[in-house]
Parts: sequence; C-alpha cells; structure tokens
Amino acid sequence: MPWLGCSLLLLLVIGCTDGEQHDDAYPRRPIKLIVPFAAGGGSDTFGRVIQNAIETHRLLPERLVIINVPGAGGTIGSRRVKHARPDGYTLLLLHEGILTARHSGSAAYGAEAFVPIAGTGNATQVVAVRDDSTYSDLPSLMREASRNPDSIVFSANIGAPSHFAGLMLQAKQPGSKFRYTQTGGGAKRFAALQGGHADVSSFSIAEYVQFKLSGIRALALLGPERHPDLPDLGTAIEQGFDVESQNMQFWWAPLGTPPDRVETIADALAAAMQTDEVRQTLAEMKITDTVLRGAALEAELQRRERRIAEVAPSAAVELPDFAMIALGCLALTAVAAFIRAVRRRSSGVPRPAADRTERETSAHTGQLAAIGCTTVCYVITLQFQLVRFVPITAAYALLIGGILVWPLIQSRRINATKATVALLIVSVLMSVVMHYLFTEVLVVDLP
Amino acid sequence: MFTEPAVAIEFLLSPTSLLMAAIGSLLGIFVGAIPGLTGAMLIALTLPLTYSMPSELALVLLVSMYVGSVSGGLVTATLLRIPGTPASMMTTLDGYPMAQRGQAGRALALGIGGTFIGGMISWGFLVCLAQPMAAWSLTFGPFEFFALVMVAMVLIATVGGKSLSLGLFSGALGVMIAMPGSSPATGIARFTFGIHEMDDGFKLLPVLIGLFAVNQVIRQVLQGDVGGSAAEVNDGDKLDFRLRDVATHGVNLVRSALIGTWIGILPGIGANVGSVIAYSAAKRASKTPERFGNGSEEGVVASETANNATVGGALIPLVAMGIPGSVIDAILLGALVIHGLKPGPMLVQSDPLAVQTIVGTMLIANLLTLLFLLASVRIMVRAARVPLFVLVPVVMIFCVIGSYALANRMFDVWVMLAFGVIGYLMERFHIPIAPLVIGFVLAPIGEEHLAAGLMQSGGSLMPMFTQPISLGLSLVALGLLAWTLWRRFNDGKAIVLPDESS
Repeated sequence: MPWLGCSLLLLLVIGCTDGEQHDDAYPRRPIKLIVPFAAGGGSDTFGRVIQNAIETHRLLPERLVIINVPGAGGTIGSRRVKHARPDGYTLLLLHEGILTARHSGSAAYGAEAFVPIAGTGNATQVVAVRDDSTYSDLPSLMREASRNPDSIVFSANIGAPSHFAGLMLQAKQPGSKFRYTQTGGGAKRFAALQGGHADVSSFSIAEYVQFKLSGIRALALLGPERHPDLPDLGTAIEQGFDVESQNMQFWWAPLGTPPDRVETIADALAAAMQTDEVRQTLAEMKITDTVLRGAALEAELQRRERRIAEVAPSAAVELPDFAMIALGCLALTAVAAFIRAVRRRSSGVPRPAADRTERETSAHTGQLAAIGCTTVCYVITLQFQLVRFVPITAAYALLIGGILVWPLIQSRRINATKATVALLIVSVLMSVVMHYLFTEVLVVDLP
Repeated sequence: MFTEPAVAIEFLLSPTSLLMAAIGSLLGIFVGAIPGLTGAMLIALTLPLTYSMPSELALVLLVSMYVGSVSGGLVTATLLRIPGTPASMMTTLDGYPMAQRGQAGRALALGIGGTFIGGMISWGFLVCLAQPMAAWSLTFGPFEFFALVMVAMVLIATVGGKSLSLGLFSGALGVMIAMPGSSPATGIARFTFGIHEMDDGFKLLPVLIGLFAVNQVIRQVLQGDVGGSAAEVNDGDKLDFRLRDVATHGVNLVRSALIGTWIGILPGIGANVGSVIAYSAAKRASKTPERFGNGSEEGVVASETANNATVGGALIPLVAMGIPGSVIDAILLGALVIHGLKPGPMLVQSDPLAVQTIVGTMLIANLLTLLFLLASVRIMVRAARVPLFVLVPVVMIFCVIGSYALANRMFDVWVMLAFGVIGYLMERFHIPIAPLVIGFVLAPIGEEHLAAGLMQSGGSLMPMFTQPISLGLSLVALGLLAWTLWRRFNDGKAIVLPDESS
C-alpha cells in the first residue's frame, strides 16, 4: 500500500529531527507553568500578569507558557506536576488550596509533595454581611453564633479558603457554630447575601470593594493590619479574634528539582513582582506585592498549615447519597426498558424503523475496525509522546483516509492521483496548521 | 441608562471600534465553530492583549467575541454533527438531519436567523428591563434553582422519542454519567474507582463530541459510500430564509428568546441549559412533535434562538449589579476592574460610557455576526460536500485535539472515544441520545443546589414548599409530568405512529 509507505516516510523524516540537548544551562526551552484552574479565573489572571512581565522584561531567557489544567478544585493539575519530571521545566501555580485540599478530603497530599519556589501576592479576606444586617461588628456576630449555634447561615465555597475563614472564626469563640452552605465563587456568594439566602460570608478585598456599593458591609478584615484602601475596617485581631485568612499564590516545582533551578525561577519571579506594571495591576486587584522565598517561605507555609489543621471541617448536614439515588433510578429504568422490549418482542410488534444493518457489509466492518485500531494507536502515541504531534497527526490522517479510499481506488471509482493529492493536502493542513493554531495562537500544550 | 447616547454612538461608529467589533465577531465565530475551543478561552487569552487599549475599545473587542462565539457553534453542529460549543448540542439533533436531507442551507439559514432574533430580543431586555430583572433574579435561592432544574428534568420525558421507557432510561444514564468525580456540593470524589484522572468526572464537551461526532463517523463508515459526502446538497446552496419564516416561527422565536434571556440572567446556568429548555418547550408546543430529532425546523430555531438570547440575559446582572451571570461575564467583569472601572449598581452613573459601550456593542456584534454568517453560508455548505475519505480524518483530528485542548489532558480524548462507541450502540438499539444529554447537563446543577438548600435549611426539604417561587415551580414540574404521562398512555398510538394518523 503506498499509503503506509508514505506515512512511514513522513514519520521518519519529521520525527528524527528532534534531538534532545543535554546541558547544564537552564532554561534551554520554554518552561510550562501549570495553572490548575480554567482560563480567566483569579489564579489564571495572576499567572498571566507575571508571565507578561517576565516576557516584556526578558527576566528569563526562555518563555514561560501557561497551561490550564482545570478540575477537581485544582487537584488534577497539581497531581500532574507532582508526577512530572523534576527538571524545572514543569511548574505549578497554586494558592492556599494546596493546603486546604488535604484537610477537606479532596487530596491525599499537601505542600510536602512539592518544592516551594516562592509565595507571591497576598489577598486578604474580609467577613461581610448584608447592609441592613443587625450585626454591627465581629463580636456581635460571634456572640449570636454561640448563643444560637447552627442558626447563622454562612455562605461558602466548601473546602476553599472562604469556608476555612468561617471555621477559624468559630474556633476562636467557644460554643459558636455557623451553618455552612455551598454557594461557590465570590459573585455567587454576594448574590446569596443579597437575596437573603445567607447571613454572612467572606470575600477577598477585591471582591468586597467591587460589591460594597451594591449593599454589603464588612465586619472585619482577616489580615494582620488594616488595609490602606479600607482604613476604617478593623482587623479581626483588633476585635479580639486571632484569625488571619490571606490567600497567597504559591509557585511549586516537583520534589527533586535541582535547587539552583528553583533559585533561577524564584529570582525571575521576585524581579517580575518589582516591575511597575505588575505593581500597578496588583494594586488594582487589591493584592499586596509581597514576595516570600527560602526560609521565610518555609516558615509561612508551616504557619498557614498549622492554622488550617487546627480547624478540620466537621461534616455538614447529612446529605442524601445522590450517586446511589442516580444508580437506583438507572437500575429501575433499565428494568422498565427491558420489560418493555421483551413484551414488544413477544407481542410481535415489528421493530421500529427500517434497519440500516443490511447495508453494513463485512467489508465496511473491516474498515471500521482498521480505523478504530489506528485511532487507538494514534491516541496512545500522543499520550506517551512517542512521536511529536505534527508527524503522527499527518500519518494518522493519511492512514485513515487511505483505509477509506483504498477500495474505491481498487474498483477504479476514484482516480488514485487525485485521492493522493487530496489526502496529502488534508494531512499537511490538519497537522501543521492545527499545530500552529493551537500552540502558537491559542497556547494549548499539544503533546 | 442613555443619558448621553450621542457620545457612545459616535464612538461605536468610529472606524476603530467597528474594526474591533468585526475582528471580535469573526474570531468568536471561528472559535465557536471549532470544538474544544470556547469563547471563554478566547476572551481569557485576549484580555492581556487589551491592557494597553482604552477601556471602551477593549470592551468592544471582548463583547463582540462573546456574541460571535455563541453563534459559531451552529455551523459545525449542522454540517458535521459536531457541536462546536456545548450550547449548540440541541442544534445537532435537528440541524444535522436537515443537512442530510439536502437542506443544509435552509438549516443554517434558520439557525442564523434564530441566532440574530434571539440576540436582538435579549438585547431589548438588556436595554429596557435590566434593573428590575436583575433584582428579581436575586430572589432565586437554592431551592428555587432546584425546582427550576426539576421542571427542565421533567422535559426528558417529552423529548424521549418514540418510547417513554427508553427515554427515561437514557435520561437516568445521563444523570449517572454525571455522578463520578468531585461532588458539586462537597468536593469529595466518588465513583472514581481509584483512578485520579476521574477526580473531575466526565467533562461535557468530550462526552458531547463523542456522542455526536464520533458516533456519526462510525455510522458513516459502516454505511460505506465513502466517495460520497456527508450532506447531500440539493438546494443547499440557496440561502433559504424567507420573511414568511418570521411569521411561521414567530411564537417559537419569542418563546425561545424569553427562555434564553431568563436562563441567562440566573447566575451559573448557561447557554447549554437555555437551549435545552427552549428546545423541549418548543417540542411540547409543536403541532408536529414527532419531527423533533429528525430534522425539525422548529428545533433548530428554538435551540439557536435561546442560546444566543442567553448572552443578553447574562449581561443584565453584570451591567445592572456587577454580578456575572456566566463564566465569560466573570472574565468581562475582570476586564472592567483591570481597566479601572468599578462594576456594580453605580456603574451606570459613574461610567455611563462603559455601559453604553457594552450594550451598543452587543447590537453591532449581532448585526456583524449575522452578516458574516450569511456571507459564508455558501462556502460552509460547499465544505460539507467534500468526500468522506477526506472528511473523516478532518473530523477525527478535530475531535481529538478539541477534547485534548479543553483541559490539556489525554484522559478527555479517551472519554470522547468511549462515548463515541456508546453513542453508536445506543442509536443501534434505538435508545434516544437527547435525554442522556439533558440528564447529564442538569444533574450536577440540580445536585449542587439541592445540597446547598439542605445545608442552608439544616436538612429540611420544607422551604421547597413554603417559598412561593419554588412551590410554584414544583407544581409546574408535577403538572407537566402528570400531563405527559397521561398523554403518553391515553394517546400513545397517535405519538408512536404519527405518519399513519396524519
């Protein structure tokens, strides 16, 4: 088959040009930064601000490429970095969620599974209520929470810092307990307060400043000192509750990454944080321009870990097991469908719709099997990155196109040259152009 | 809202901002048509490029991308049975059968017309009723949301096709497929069988691409005839949208646009659910419900009108109260902040030009999207005429890259392939796919809100029946269910064998 030859040749020619260079200089190729949240979120925006500064000021000789690996509260992305080769070319940007994930039960590992590079920026949280709420300050809220435990509804993103802010507060007032409800991100929590579906919640300063005019009022700032943008808002510590909740963006490398490479990245990050545009953007986002590294970073991580570990979340209301209910429904409907099928067959009702099966000859089944196998091989090759994207994709397009068109060429229904040219165009277009579009224009990390 | 409209109009009609709107809509359409690339992705990646632009110009670019990206999905959905964005999944159900019958041009024209009218009606709401509607939407708490999801879930029973039991089975299967991964209420993983890649469950896009596109590839290969093309085009080149259609589909257009706008306003429920509900409502109201799923014009119109109407709807809480109604709106909100504007109820007073720019751009982007789509219909239909042996590699590579690009992982590619086989087997055994998709989309939303409601009430279901809105919606759900079952059992023959009775 000329197709096989053609595609193998393509594979060889393009596949062999990629020689790995081994050298001590770092970095020699673009560094991948895994952001374990979707594009457009807070962490992603922060990462892109820093990335922008590193590129415009050439703080690293190579590019820093942001790759979004969202899912499961950041654990899909963090797990990928945990298992990545510790060569300094795969990094992780993950905030305090890395500390809370283990205590809320969504991951079995925490900060100890990574080498911390740096902690940058600090977004302080505030505790806020609706404008017309009867609570005037933090003590009045906490008094009510201990007088009538489990009656004040605290809107949170369960397992995330907003939840832990409430848990830390109630730990400081004996006998108090909030009733937590799952709401989600800042905008949804604000809507829940406004609609009267919750009594209190916590927000980052940026969110609070944004929503303040729409009718919420902060009771306390959960930071060590007052914030210049909110000079009248007392901290929780001032009001007698030793609680701090500040979300810091931490940069991580896999365990075993050489210390000098960690230093190189930390230097670049520290320099990026000092640039004018980063400072200006962070000021607008109400994030401080703190940079922690080395011993100070270790100490801060331990301090935060302690604060969070103290208040392991208690189980909320006993929720029905939705998954089991779904399984039950599925079983029930499956039985119903089965009974109906049996009854139909026995009552001799003709099967609906003329079956297309008659046209499905064995030749076509063979083609389908060949295409299926090729596709599985293609995906496996991509998964284990045996060959680079462009050659394998071109080969794949040629192969399955060839499988489909081969019988037609044999029966002389299609001109062989014409088909070859068409398939070559398609394979080149789909491999090279798609590769360019996705990696260069849209910054997707194709294998 | 329009105290000084002259300034805004002058700005919006300047060549620079028109150019921005054109670039934005074109890129949006393009990204919307390619599976795996979403409008949210495009806008998030563009945002850093706008840092140096004046804020109004940045808004023009971003909002027109938003409008374009919701509209582009209908092209691939109709011609290739690949929903370019999840919001177009209901369009594949009827658009593709129409294209197969040789009415590709007609299906596209109806979709484009619906897109435009849906956008314009929701724009009208954005201009006139932003303030009161946003305020009312706040009264929706967890139980109200759950009741709303229940209303939509009941519709599974109606879109199920010929057999009620198979439809319900398919719906339950969809709900079950949504279960693995992190629980939407507590974040704890379940049904992952120890496989960490499963911690986030099955994502919507790989499942949809598999169920529709890969399934289609399998069927076409088995049917042979690879020298032929996917869509047999007879009168397909003709752009077949007549003024008469506005009259024929008038009620459907208005109803779908209203549903879309309203779903758009509610935070966290996006264009997907809007088109699902509008589609089901159109089927219920239709005189020929049996044609839904086999190339019904009404289905295409309902789906595309509603998903575009959610754009205007979702902008309402953003403009009026600074609350983003969708992921893309959240990014737009971020853009406002980065450009030094203060979103919230005071935005209209503090920076009327920004509000007028958003509102005006939506109008311009809708017009431009209409123009671009109409101008390219002919080329797009031709593209669907390429022989199968060329089309199959293209579609398969799109499916693979698209699934991968969503979250940069191969797991989604395997999920996509597996659901291709599942979709093929389901159709082989005459199990309808639409209920599965609806169950899969709605289950996590329903679960999240029911759990939130129970956590808020301390485990009691009572608020569901003591609060007027949730009580009303629950009654609607019950009523719809009872009516559907009654009709199924009393009137069954007329539905099962429509061709003979008519």
